[in-house]
Amino acid sequence: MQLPTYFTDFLNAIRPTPSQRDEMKTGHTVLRTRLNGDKDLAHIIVTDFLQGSYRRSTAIRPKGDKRSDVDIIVVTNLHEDDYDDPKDAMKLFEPFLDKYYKDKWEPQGRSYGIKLSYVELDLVITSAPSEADAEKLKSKSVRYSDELETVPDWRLVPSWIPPSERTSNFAEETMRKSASEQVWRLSPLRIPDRDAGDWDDTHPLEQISWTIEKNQRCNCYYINVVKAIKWWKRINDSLPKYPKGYPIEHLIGDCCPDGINSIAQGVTETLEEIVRKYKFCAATKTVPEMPDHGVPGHDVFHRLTGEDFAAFYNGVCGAANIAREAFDADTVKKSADKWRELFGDKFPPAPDDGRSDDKGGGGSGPYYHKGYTKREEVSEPLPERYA
Amino acid sequence: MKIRGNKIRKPAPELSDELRAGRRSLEGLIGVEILEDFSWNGVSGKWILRLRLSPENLAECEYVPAATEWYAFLSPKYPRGKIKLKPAAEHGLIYTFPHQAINLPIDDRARWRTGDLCVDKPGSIFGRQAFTDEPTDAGGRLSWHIQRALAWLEDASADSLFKYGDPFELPQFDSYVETLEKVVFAESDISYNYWKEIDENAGVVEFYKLRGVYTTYFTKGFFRIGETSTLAPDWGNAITEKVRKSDPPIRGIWIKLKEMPVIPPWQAPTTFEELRNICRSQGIDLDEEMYRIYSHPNIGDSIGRIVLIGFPIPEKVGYDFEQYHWQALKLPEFKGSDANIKKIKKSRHRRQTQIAYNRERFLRNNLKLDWLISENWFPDQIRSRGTLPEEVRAKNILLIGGGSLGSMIGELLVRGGIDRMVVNDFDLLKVGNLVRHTLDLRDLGLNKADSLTERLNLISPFAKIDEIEESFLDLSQRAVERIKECSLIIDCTGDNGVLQELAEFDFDSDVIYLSVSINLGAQRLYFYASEGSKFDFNDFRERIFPWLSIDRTNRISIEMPSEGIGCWHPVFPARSDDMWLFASIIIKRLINVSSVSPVESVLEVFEQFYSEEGEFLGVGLAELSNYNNQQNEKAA
Repeated sequence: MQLPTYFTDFLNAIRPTPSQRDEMKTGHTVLRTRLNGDKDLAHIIVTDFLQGSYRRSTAIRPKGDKRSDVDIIVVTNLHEDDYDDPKDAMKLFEPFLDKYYKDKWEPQGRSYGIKLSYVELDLVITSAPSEADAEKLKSKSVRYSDELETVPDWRLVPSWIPPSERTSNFAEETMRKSASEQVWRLSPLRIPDRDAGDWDDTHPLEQISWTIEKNQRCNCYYINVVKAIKWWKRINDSLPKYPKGYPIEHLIGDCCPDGINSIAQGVTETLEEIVRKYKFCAATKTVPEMPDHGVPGHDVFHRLTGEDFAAFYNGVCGAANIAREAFDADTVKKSADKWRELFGDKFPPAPDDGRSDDKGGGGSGPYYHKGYTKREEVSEPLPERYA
Repeated sequence: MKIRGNKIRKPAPELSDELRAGRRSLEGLIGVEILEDFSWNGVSGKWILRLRLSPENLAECEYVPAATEWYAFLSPKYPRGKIKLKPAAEHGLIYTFPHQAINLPIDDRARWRTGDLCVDKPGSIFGRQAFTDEPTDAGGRLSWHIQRALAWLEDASADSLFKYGDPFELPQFDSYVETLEKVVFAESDISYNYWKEIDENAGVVEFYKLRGVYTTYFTKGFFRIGETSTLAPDWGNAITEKVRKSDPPIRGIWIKLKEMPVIPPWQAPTTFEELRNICRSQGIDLDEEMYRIYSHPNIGDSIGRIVLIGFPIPEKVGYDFEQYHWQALKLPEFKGSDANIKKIKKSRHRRQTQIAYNRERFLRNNLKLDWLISENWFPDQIRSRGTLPEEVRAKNILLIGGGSLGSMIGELLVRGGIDRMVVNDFDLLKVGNLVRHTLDLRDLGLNKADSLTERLNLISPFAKIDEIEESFLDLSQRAVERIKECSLIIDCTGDNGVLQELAEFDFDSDVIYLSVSINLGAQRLYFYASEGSKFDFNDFRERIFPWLSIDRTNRISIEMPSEGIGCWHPVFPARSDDMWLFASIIIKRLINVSSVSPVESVLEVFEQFYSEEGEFLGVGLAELSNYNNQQNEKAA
């Protein structure tokens, strides 16, 4: 069974908590405000925006005491010619970090990690983009800093306006105009590579666009399917550490069919598709190629080993079976029990009181479908407590 | 009266786990589909869920579509708080059924209608099976409600919401305007016979008007034009005595229907057009009848705005009709130029135009009906809980003494259904009395009998309690005549002089006498009863003497409080709980005594028992023999 209300509550339990989301929002808002206000950096910053699973609404609750992550990208006008080694460009930001985040920041290869009490901000800088792109990167649709889940109509177009600003007739008209605009296809941005020895391509906006378009094709269930499967991976200790994070998301995106009508359907069919598609790869312990949506030259799976992929694949096989059983189950209790096998305790339990043997009415009371007794007597008022 | 909450929108709280569990419990129920998950309604302060209900066993019925949409309203405190189900404005139920509030649209923008379902009344049974009691847990309660709603729909489609033998229910007569007025009448199976016999469809009704939180109109009498006989309920003093001779009469019209006015399935009429049609279908021309009354030369001008629509109803569903119910309607105000309508001339050729004029000018078809709250206060209707037996209620009682015990006995008697009583006391209420009396600060310095009578008359709409403010030892002839009508005399004076005076009375038939008093410290109640045409004081004295002796020997050790500085006057120390305890015992013994005939003279003594540590153990009959032994032991 699809149990939509159960999945609604499950997702509520695995997405970052309201306080975590508040902290994430405060964290990135303050950082970006400070960046834009810093007189030393003001002349080199073109714009900034959010990327990562937080922006794409595919983030799940951090494990245990871990901090939630927010990824911020700062577009600069520093030319690559002047900064052969990205580290030199990055260093320009260090006085700022010392000023506001003393002892809390550290370089992490391609970015700076800022560890606040509950949130970890990941700050990446880019080199100068083309002039045309630079203007577009300053638009509202790029800079919109809330989760995509909150704006199902987001599109990377010039006239898109955030919901909070759509209060006037002018704003509404502009939004209407945006519906007919073509989505921008920007060039990739250039950020330090993992070892910060050179500049490399990245295209977060394309990933974001791709995600939201996929979500729309999936009746808005896609991002929840991503979260659900990520959670399955998280609680499954028998699976290898990798793949995790964006690579898993990418894999799900490739395998999730369009037009799904529920999260349950999405999860089941995605897992089954993975099983179908990569049988050969798993058997031969080869890692399939996963071209990145924004930078096709990048292989999202390039750091995955064949061993790990095969082990992961086996895990998916088992999960797909359980999911199918859960999906096809004919009572609420049987279905919920199976989903709980897959997702753990955060998936709500079905009530347990012998109602489960009702045909299709599982979860209903013993008083609706267990056959009728013809009533003969007249209604007697039930005794109550009086005062 | 419609009570509306304030319009401040409450901000959305977090959706609780209990609400989530409640909503999940609907998963898998056959015939239930959640169309829209919880959304917060700030105006009502509730979470709402939009559902589609498609019961499996719906009968073919034009009033109930196969699938209907509903809004469920849940409190943020779910599973506590109310659960309401309202039909959606679109794709919802549009008719009104039994066990449902009147189901009307609210306005163009509202998402739901007014017809709340009543599925949680205890004892009401829906569907062909009995439901378990309403669960109180999060997973069970909402599911139970929705399943009851499904069963309700099935019953509604099969026209079986009312089951033979169920208590009869009226449809909801909706008020159009918020009004603090109500109409009270008194109808029974006896008056039903009267109504059955008469031919007229309409007449004049007179009211008593009482102001309070509600302005209440009590039906004083129902008149038929051209006839002298009336039907007049026997209201009590509190209602009838408020009228001054100079007050103009308050009148309205009564119209008698053959059947309850209902638009199928169960909707009370809401407009004049609907009411007219219903009357017409019963062979009654509403306008014609009203015209006839309003145009009457003598009375027409005095008729006000209240119309009583009467119809017969049974006690239980399926039973024969047993009594009439009058549902009051308030007509719209006659505006200046319309005032001429009242002075309608009786000329024939203008008759039809006048009726048409009424109908079009101020009783327009689309005008909403302003129903008033209408209640039947016939004693059986309002006293279904706790009345004294018939043998006691049939007595004409004299209560001598409006002190502590007397005030409480009076109160218990009238609350128990005594309507005819006369209270006698010459004394004034003092502040020291308040410790154990039913009167209050407002009555200080006033005659106790007078104040008690006023209070007692306000306890029951039928109470006709009179007072005699004279001393019993010095009664006027009128007082004596009134006393001689009594069949039960209760002396609560503790005064031998009164009893001696009572012994002088010669009653025409046997009278029951009770003399009740308390000993000092309120440890004992002396309950004396006898019957006869004369009160035997000697018998009383002989029986009580031994008990009083016991008291005398004990009294030396008890310190006697005084009334205050000045004249030393013994005041007995007793609290209200002691007095109420004994007053209740007196009533209970009175019930026993009234059921026996003749009453053998007896003195019973009830005593409070305490343990050595002073713990209250109870009250019971005390025997003289126990005390005699004690006396002998003491002497010895």
